[in-house]
Formats: sequence, structure tokens, C-alpha cells
Amino acid sequence: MSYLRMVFIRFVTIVFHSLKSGTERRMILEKLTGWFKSIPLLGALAILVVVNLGLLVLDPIKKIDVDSLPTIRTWSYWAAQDYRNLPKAPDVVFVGSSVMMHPTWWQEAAYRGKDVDLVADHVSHYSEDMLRKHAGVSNLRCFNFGLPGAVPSDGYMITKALFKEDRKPKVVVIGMVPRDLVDNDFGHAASSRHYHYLSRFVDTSGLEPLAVPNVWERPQYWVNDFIYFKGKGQPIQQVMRHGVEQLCKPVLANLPGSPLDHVTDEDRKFAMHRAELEKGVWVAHPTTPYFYAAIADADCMKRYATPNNELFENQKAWLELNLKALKEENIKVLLVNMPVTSMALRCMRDGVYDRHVDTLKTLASKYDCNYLDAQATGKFGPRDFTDWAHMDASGGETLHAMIAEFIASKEPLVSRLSDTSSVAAKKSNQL
Amino acid sequence: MLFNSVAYLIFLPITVALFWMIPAKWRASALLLASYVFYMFWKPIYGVLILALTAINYGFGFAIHRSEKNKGKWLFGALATNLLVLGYFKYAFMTRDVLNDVFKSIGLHQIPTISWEIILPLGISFFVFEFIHYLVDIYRGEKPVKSFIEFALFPSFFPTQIAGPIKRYQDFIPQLKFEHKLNIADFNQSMELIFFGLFKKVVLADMLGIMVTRCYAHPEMLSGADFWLATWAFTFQVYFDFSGYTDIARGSALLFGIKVPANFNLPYLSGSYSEFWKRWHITLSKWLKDYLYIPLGGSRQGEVRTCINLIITMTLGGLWHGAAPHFVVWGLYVGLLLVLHRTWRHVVAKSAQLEKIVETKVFHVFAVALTFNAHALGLAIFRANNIPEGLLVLGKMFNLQPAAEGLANWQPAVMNTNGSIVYPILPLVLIAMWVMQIVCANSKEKGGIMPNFFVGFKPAYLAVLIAMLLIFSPDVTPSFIYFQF
Repeated sequence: MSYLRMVFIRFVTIVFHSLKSGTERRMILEKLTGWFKSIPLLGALAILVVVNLGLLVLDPIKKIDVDSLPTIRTWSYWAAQDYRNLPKAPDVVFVGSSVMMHPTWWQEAAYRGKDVDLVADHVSHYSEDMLRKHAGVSNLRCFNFGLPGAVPSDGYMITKALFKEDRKPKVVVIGMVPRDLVDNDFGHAASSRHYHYLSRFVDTSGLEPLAVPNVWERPQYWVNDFIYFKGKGQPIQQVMRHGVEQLCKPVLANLPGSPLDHVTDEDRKFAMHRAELEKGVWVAHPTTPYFYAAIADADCMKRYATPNNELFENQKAWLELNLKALKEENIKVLLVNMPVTSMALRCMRDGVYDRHVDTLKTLASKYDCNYLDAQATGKFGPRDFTDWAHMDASGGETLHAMIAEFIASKEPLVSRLSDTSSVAAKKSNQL
Repeated sequence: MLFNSVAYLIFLPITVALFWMIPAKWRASALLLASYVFYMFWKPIYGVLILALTAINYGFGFAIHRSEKNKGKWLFGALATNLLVLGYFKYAFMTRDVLNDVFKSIGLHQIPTISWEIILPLGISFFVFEFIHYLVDIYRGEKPVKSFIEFALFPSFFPTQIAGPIKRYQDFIPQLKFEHKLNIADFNQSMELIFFGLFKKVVLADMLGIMVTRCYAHPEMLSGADFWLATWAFTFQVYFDFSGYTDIARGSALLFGIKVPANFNLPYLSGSYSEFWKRWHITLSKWLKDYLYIPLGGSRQGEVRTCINLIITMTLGGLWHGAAPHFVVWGLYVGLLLVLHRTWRHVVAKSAQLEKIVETKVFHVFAVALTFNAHALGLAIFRANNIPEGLLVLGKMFNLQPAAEGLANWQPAVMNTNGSIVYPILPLVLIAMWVMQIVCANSKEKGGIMPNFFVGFKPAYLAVLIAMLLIFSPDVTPSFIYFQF
């Protein structure tokens, strides 16, 4: 139970025991009963407080399968579902924002020579083959867990939600650009859709100060934590629905499936304008001609408008939490300083980029992570980028080859990947 | 700010507390200030609009009252001003489209596109109607309100500002003396109204709304049985949404010691369509009767003219609900039903045998079911996105249009939809809502407030309402259906 719940239960227990004698308790009860009769709302609140306390202590909902709860199907939903449905845990997981997601995805389509639907398909065969080529390790599974707009707090949630028990990868590659730590277009950790979805699998108690740094925004989270009916509203609805479905089974079994559950082509067409994603909409094609979207440059200026020191410190703390958690799970980490464009460098305020690089180096050293400065290699040029932030297939090709070569040069990483006690089987859908 | 939002849950108790702390002579001003804060929470600029309209109508009121020979002209000018403002914000696009269709058909030039955005100010239909009532009543001999503060509070009073009830100034203004204190009985009743209203809106209306929205978004995919369920669900959704809002409005007003009129009286238990409009959106029905139907001649100019007046009144009432052709069609349908009922009453009056049958309980049950379904069918048009879709829905409901491929029109496949709890138990939910109506009607307290079976029942019942509210309250606050009328 969270600390708030513990405080509440302790308070009620102290109040009750402080009424020493039976007579005192009787007098208080009579007075309270009088109030409750004349003001029914007080009686209702008293009933709710007692019932709420009981539910907080007993927590009857905790056994429910949170994955069965309704949710908006966002990027993190699809990626998490794909991850959980793999026959075995992948060996290497690439984590980061769209800066990691895009080049991995586009290069995969180019490598396979066919369309890749990133909503449904997160495997990176190109990375697997690069690792076989450079590190001599075969039968690997590489998983693209890049999420648009993701920040280090989302990375932490991925780790805590998915990288555990028999689902732990061997190596996690975290790709970072300065935007991930200072994005002026980002609110707070708990406002992220990825955080919101993944928090159903993670005990977030104690994380409020980091997740919602602005104290005026915290009451909503306290309410969810402290008031059982509110915090567990979704699971309670799910339990009710399940019970109702069992009761109505004889009737429902005689009816056809609902047409409303079928996603139409019309729905798919407008999928891009909705928070919910559909398969078949976000597809990388193998032969997309080169383009550069200069129209997005204004976005770059907005993202880097200020050094955003508050957000930097907050997300740096999340990154540390994540690195610590990965270390505790005995997962090897490779921190990659991803390539940036000259446009992005121009938009950044003085000192932001150097602070970013120093931070990555320091944290890599502190948490025994490997560190690769892809930007410093000088191997990425303007034609590797499709806008101020995102690389295309050629950038992805260079990046993943570079990552594979780096891993191959690190004995601990190679032996970790070669560890056959947890080799992931290749999926049947081949190139 | 919406009644079912966290902001209102903070705003209301603070406003009530401050209100009762200050001297009585300042309370009207304080309430006026709070009402403008409430209104401008959405878009501050529209506070200026309501203030300007208030000042203009305040002036018009005195002009009409004082004028000896030009009362009519002043009234005309006043009404035209109000209706032009309402017309601009609500009907500019529709008017342009309709006129262009006419001009196109007769080969005239089209009116240019309106290139700027017109955002409908919240509650404009309601406070314009209150202004019109005020001006017409002064023209008919009533006295204008002297205090500008009190007059300004009349349309802007925040509990009724956005979606009514449409008040009468003769009932409202005298209550602004605030010579009494808040008593426990008023407090209890206001809490019952507020929580029951929230329950109706958050738990009942919004739950049904999930299903209704999905069904009406894909009419081609569903069967007739699906649409009977969806239409009945919408019938209850709109009732619980609007009556829930009204309950919260009345409860909130009562916290300031102000009584505003009830807007609903268990309308789905009406035995005729005429009775229905005396129980549904009561203040609007009364307004339409006093300021449209009666000025048109009411029932004083023969049967044919009466029927025409009914149809015109209800068609314009339909147009008030929305600037789109299917609202007009709905209004026309309602007018025709009233004419039909009127005709039926004449037929019954001439037959003693029919009169006997009509007075039986069995017939009453049949009449209630018929009235409910007649209203529901009209709402199928009201809810649809346009007339063709409305006709498609009705066609499926009467098996004139086929269901989707692989589905028979009698199969309510929507009950198997994943997601909300309402789908598998929708028929039971609808029956439960009917039972709730009957229970409320038979309880000691009528008008939709919770029944009182025994001592101690109310705290338990309130606790259940609040628990359900907490369980079903969404993360994002959905709006009320009548939010931007």
C-alpha cells in the first residue's frame, strides 16, 4: 500500500483508540448518529470512509489482469503487446524516442525489401544480422521499442513493466538526443501517454514527486491513490463487466459478433488523426525516395526554446532510476548519444549539448553502462536525415552497423549475448 | 466550467462559503461577480458579450416601459437586436448554406464563404430567451427591474446560465433580497439534487452515450434491433443528461437560497404527447407557449390555425436545438404529433365508448408506451448526423432497410461489443431505467429526486451514488449535450 494509504489507516486507528471508555464512544456515536440523521450527506460520507478504509486494507481488486482493462491503443500499447507475445524474451531491445524508432524501422523495410508496419512489427532483422556478422552471435532477436515522444521516464516504465522474470532482454540499447531531456513541448512524466498506459503494470507509489513535479497537479494522483473507488474504477468496471457477461452468456452466445468491433477501412483512413493507432496505417516502404521536411524546423526551435533546467533535472533523475533498475536486473546497457543535425545544434541554447553529453558519460560510468557517442564518429551526414531530428534508412543502416560493431568490440556484451541459457528463437516470418 | 468537472467542485463550495459570510446587501453583487467568473472561465471575451447584451436589454426595458406611443417599435427593435445576435452566432453558416442553395437553383450569385470562425457563446440561446421574456412582459405591462445588479444577475446566474432552466424574472428577482439563512432542509435537498444529478449525468447518461455514439457513427453496420436499443438508449441518455444538469443547477441555486423552476417531471411516464411537453423541458415549453404560440394566435383562431401554430412553434423549437436541417425535421415531426394528438382528443370526446376505454389502466400503459416510442423515433432523426442517416436508421428499425451483411435485422449484435459494461446488459439497463422512473413517481418526493423508503435509507443511497460516481467518472470530463445551445 502507498504511504498515503498507510497514513490514513494509522490516523483512523489512532482516533478510534483515543476514545478510551465505552461511554465516551457511545456518546460520540450518538452525536454522530444525530448529525447523520439531520444531514444524510454526512452519513453517506461516513459510510464511504469506512468502506473505503476496508477496501484499501483488503484490496480485493489486486488480482485482476490489468491487461484485460480497456485502453486507448497507442504506440506503447502495441509495442508492449508485441513484446509480451514474443515466444521468448528478445536479446536486444532498442529504447528511445522516435529518433531511435524511425531509422530502425525504415532500414528494416529497406533491408527486407518489403513494407514494415511498425504498429504490428517491432523486430529488427537487420540488427540481428549485423550482430551475427560483427559479433559472431547467431539466433538473436532484436526488438525496436522506440516510441514517438518518449522520454527517459517512459524508458523507466518500460523497464519496470516488461523487463522482468523470463521477459528480460540481455542488452538494452538506449538512444538519447538532447531533446529527450529538455523538450519544451513536454509536460511532466505522468502526462505522457506511454507512462499512462505502462503505469497499469507498474507500482508507481512513491514516484509522484518525480512523475508530477508540480505539486498543484498532484491532487488528481492522490485521489486515485487514496480513494479506492476512484483509483480502482477501471478494474471494478472490468470485474462488473465480467460478472455481467457470465450472467448473460446464454443470451450473448446466440448472437453474432458485434459489427462495432470490426475496424473499417474508413476508421483506418483517419487513424492518423486519432490518439488510437491502427495496423496498416504506419507503414515504412522499402523504396521511399529521399526527402527532407524543412517544414518541421519550427518544431525544432520550439523544442529547444530554453535549456529547460527543471525538466532536465527531472528526466535525468528518471534516467538514473532506469539505469539503476536495469543494473539490478542484470541487464547490460549501451547508452548511445544519437546523431543530431546542424539544425538541432543551432536551435539548442549554449551549453545544452555539452551538458547532455557530459550527463550521458557520467551516468554511463556511474551505472557500469557502455557508452557510444554516435554523433562524434562523424559518419552521419545531412542525407541521413529526413528532418531536423529523424534519420531515414541510410542513417539507420549506419547506426545499427555501428552499434553492432561496438557491441562486438566489448567482450562482456558479446558473452552476454552468447549466453545460450536464454537464446530467443527467430520468428517464422522470414525476410 | 462544467458541473461535472473538478473545477466546479472547487468553485461551488468556495463561492457558497464566501456568499454566506458577507452581508446580505452585498450578496447579489458577489453572486454576479462569481457568475461572470464562471462564464468567463471558458472564453473571457464572451463575458463582454453577455454584459453588453445585458446593458442593452436593461435600456430597452426602460424604453419600452416609459414609451407611450412607440412601445411596439421599441419592442421590435429590442427583439430584433437579440434575435440578430442569436442568429449570427447560431445560424450564420446554416443561413448562408440555405440561401446559397436557393440562389444556385435560381441562377443567382453565391454568398461568399464566411472565412472567420464563429464560436457559439455558451448558453446564448438561454439568456436571449430570458431577455425576450423580460422585454415582452414589460411590453405587456409588467415593471422593469430597477437595480442593474439584480437585472444583470438574472441571465448570468451561474447555475442556470449555460443550459437553463429558463427563469421568469418575476420569480427570480424577489429572491435576491437574501433575507433568509441557509437552512438544513435546503442544504439536504441541494445535496440530493446535486449528487443525483451527477449520477444521472456521469453514470447513466455518459454510459449510454458511449454506446449511442458508436452505433450512430456506423449506421450501415448495424441491425434494426441494434437501433431500437440505441434509440431507446439515446432517449434515456438525453433525458438523464439534461435532467441531471437541471438537478445540479437547482441544487446549486438552492445553496444560495434561490429556487429555480424544475424542468422535468418524469416525462417518460406521460400518457400523451401533449402531456409529454408539459413534463419535458418544462421551462422551454412554457416559453414557447407564452412567447411564440400565443402571439401567433394560440388556439383562439379555429382548429386549422391552431394546428398551424403548433407546427410553426415546434418547428422553430426544433431549429433552436441546432442549426441543421434534421433538427428542423425533428421539430416538424413533434408539431405533427401534437396535431395528431389534438385530433385524437376531438375524436375521443365525441365517443363515450372511446372515452371509457381511454380511462382504463390498460390503455394508460399502452398510451405511455406509445408516447415514449413516438418520442424515441423523433430522437432517431435528432441524433443522426443528417436526414439521410436518420432515414436509414428508421428504415432499419422498421425493417425497410436491410441490416449489414451477415446480420439479420432482429439480431441485437451490438450487445456483444467489447468495451463498456453497458453493451451486454443494455436491455436490462433500459428496463431498470423505466423501473426507476416508476419508483420515483411513487415515492414521497416527486420530480426525479431519490425516493425515501425508510429512515437511514438516504445516507446509504447517497453513499452508493457517490461510490458509483467515483467508479464511473472518466479521466476526461465529457460535456453535457445542451452545453452549447
